[in-house]
Amino acid sequence: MLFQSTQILLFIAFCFVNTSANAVETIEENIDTDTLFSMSLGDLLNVDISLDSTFDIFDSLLNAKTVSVASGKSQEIARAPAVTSIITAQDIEAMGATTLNEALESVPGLHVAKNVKYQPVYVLRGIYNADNAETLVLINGEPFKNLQNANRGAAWRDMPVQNIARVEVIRGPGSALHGADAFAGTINIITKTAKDIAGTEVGARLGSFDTYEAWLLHGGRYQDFNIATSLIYKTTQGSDPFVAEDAQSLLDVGWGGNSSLAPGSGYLQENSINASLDVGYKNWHVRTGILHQDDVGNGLGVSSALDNWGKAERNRFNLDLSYHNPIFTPDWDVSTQINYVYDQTAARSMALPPGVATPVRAYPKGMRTELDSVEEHLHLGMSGFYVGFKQHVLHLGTGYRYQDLRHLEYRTNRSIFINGSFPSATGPLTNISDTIYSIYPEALRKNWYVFLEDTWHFSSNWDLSLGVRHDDYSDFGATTNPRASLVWQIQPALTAKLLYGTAFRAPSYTDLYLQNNGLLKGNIDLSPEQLSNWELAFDWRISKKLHANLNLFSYHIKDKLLPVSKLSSGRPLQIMENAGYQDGSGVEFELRWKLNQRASLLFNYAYVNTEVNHSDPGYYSKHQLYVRHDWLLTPGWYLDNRISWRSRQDYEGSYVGSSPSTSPQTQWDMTLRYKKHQQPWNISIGIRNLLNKDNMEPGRATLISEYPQAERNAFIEFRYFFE
Amino acid sequence: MKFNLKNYILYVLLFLVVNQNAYAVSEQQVKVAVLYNLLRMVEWPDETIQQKDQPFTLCFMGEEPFGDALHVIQKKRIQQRNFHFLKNIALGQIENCKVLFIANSEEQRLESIMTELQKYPILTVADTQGFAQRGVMINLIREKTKVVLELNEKSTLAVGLSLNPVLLRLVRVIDTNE
Repeated sequence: MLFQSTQILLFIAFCFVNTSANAVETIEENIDTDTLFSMSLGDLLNVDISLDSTFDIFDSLLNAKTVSVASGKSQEIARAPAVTSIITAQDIEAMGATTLNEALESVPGLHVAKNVKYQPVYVLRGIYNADNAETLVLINGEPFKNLQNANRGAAWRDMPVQNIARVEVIRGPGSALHGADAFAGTINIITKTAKDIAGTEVGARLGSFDTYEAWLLHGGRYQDFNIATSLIYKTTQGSDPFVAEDAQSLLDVGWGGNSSLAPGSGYLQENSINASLDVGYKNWHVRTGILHQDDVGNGLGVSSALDNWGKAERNRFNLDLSYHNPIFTPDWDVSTQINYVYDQTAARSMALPPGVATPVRAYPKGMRTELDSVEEHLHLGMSGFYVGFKQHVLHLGTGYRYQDLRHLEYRTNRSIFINGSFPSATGPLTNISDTIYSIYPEALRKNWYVFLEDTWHFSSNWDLSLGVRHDDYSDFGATTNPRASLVWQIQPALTAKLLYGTAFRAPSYTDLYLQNNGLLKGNIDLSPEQLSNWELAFDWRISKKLHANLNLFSYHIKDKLLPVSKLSSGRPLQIMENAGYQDGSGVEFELRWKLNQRASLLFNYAYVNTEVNHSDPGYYSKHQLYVRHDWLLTPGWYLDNRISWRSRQDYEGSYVGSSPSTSPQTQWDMTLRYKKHQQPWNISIGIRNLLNKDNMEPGRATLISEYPQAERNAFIEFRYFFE
Repeated sequence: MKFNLKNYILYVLLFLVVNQNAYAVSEQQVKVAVLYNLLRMVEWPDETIQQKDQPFTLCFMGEEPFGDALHVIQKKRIQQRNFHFLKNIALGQIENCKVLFIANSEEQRLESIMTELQKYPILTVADTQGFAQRGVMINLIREKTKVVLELNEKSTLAVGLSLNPVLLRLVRVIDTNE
């Protein structure tokens, strides 16, 4: 082992004692608040501001922050009718987070697990599903998800952070405002506008795993137009997750043979381009974005068998046009919007490697499938706040969503018996689109919704909010989701909230229509999965430098969408059903502490206990701990340390090879940044998984029981900013 | 290799001990002190005796940027009156404000806010580049390592606020965009 943790710590402590002495000497101004207030205005305008004001993460950690994801209107976190967390662009820069997933780990109780393709599973409160349909991701308030799996697309693993202004997270249900899938939580990513960029930034990052990134951001005001644009390019080979055995290793034993590609490494390579244009003109706002991905590897393989042939390509285009007039009339603040998404994916996968001979037939070139799809989504929405009734704020809105899986092409060499024969195992793949043999049909989903919420400020210290949203879906019916919140400002520094809310997860097309899969079958009679949640939350500004919040939650999920083993035409098959329930409860605690003018500490801890149909689902962490320490070493030099620690428990199932480890997972990440006021350069170096821990994410118990995560890796980043 | 949490705690504690005396003046501290100072140089038109008995209301629209720095003036008095803060207010609640700070987050709807404000003798303050040109009366911006005061005199005169001549010598006068 190259480093030992103790040595690293001693080294840091040593550097720290030395550099901090220098730092104190370098501070030229030493003015206290009383002195400032005794100065004349003329003198004040001559005071030099320096040091941490260039990068004031220490104060900003404690500043009262506002969220809009909780109620649709910007309001202070403490009084918002939900439990929320905010990650600002400043936090992202301080952490040196290079991707969205990395930044999200700082949210209390949120862990970014990975599925077999290494796509993120945003696990909140023990609610886990490999497609992660239970956590809703929004970009600027619009859902970023597809119809087929209710996830973020077959090729999506992460998002660059350069163009993110802030991320707002609701922990707990949000369907009363956001509709389907705002279930375990909602993550709203707000991109930068002209004022967030205010100039031009170019940057480049080089990192381990042959990772190269380059970007350009520009924002400015041109007459009455606020224009922001971004272009981000990334290419990576990804970490090489090594597995000793995969699903094919198990089949090789049963069928005889030696065709598994394991022991071997998974495929996490990817190229991507993210481009955006954001134009604001008076009350109008147009946002458009292009996401292109290609050569995206299949991780450990869609069927948990290593796949050196599979890859995906995606092109997504979105256009959002919105109008917001805060004083449409003196009592009305209105918004209206049109959103359009075109999302095209071409994914190919090899479920079984070359040379496999199943009991039915041999696959000299492997069992291969190509799936091309195009989805189009259109959303029309309007909403408003009405303040004409004294002490009341009414929020009401309605909208219509038209979602169309309008093209699906399915080509395969699988042993599907078509007109008395199988598709060729070695020739070109057989196109069976638009036939009863396809994986699912092209289909359409239409959704009307209406919502109403009243917030009653019945005294200066109390708010009562009651809201309800009704959704009507063309394919699986209607659902109504209420929420209620009572917020009590006990003292100016202490707020308590009692929250109740329900949420639903809409069945995806896979849940409803999947067919001819051989292992799993959809069910068109499914109802949405339903969650109800109680929550008690406290927000306490203990002192000017210390801020704590605590929340206790308890939820019940019914009609859980689960595969159930049944016999179909005499063969065992898993069929999706509303077959279960889940109960969970826990606590989340966060402390933000400004240690002094040059350092701050963020600490959070989450505990959850949950059961699915009377048994522990295992895939989550009961205990989760996170510490982030930001420190201005000397003027211009910033050091951020983050440590996350998670417990793991055993989960039921029989394993391939050894059973998964139950030892806790630890990750230590460190970023050192050089940034000085009025200097255009901003340079950082980061080390991830400093202790080189063999961290694992839970896999599929019966196939690959755990998915290895990246070993120690590093990057160096350069940014140049000019006005 | 086993991760030793004790070492990390030790490191944090060590650092606390070493760093307690470090101090620097932040941009927000200076801006709050400037704001407090300049409020003493503004006269509001026709205040009734009753109004003079009420606290001096400082309102904030949007995301308030001052944080801790603001607590300092909460303990101070102005025109023999205590300060009263109203944060995150809506447009319909501005009537009782003496001063309205418009945060950077309100950039998109600034024109609508300014139109509504024309009816009231409220001193508008911001800390965003370009806001003075768009009608905000006082703009506290940072240039290099100094805080600079921009004044939109036309806006102050329009609602009948009068400014101490000393203040006028220290500000940079800005014209409204046409």
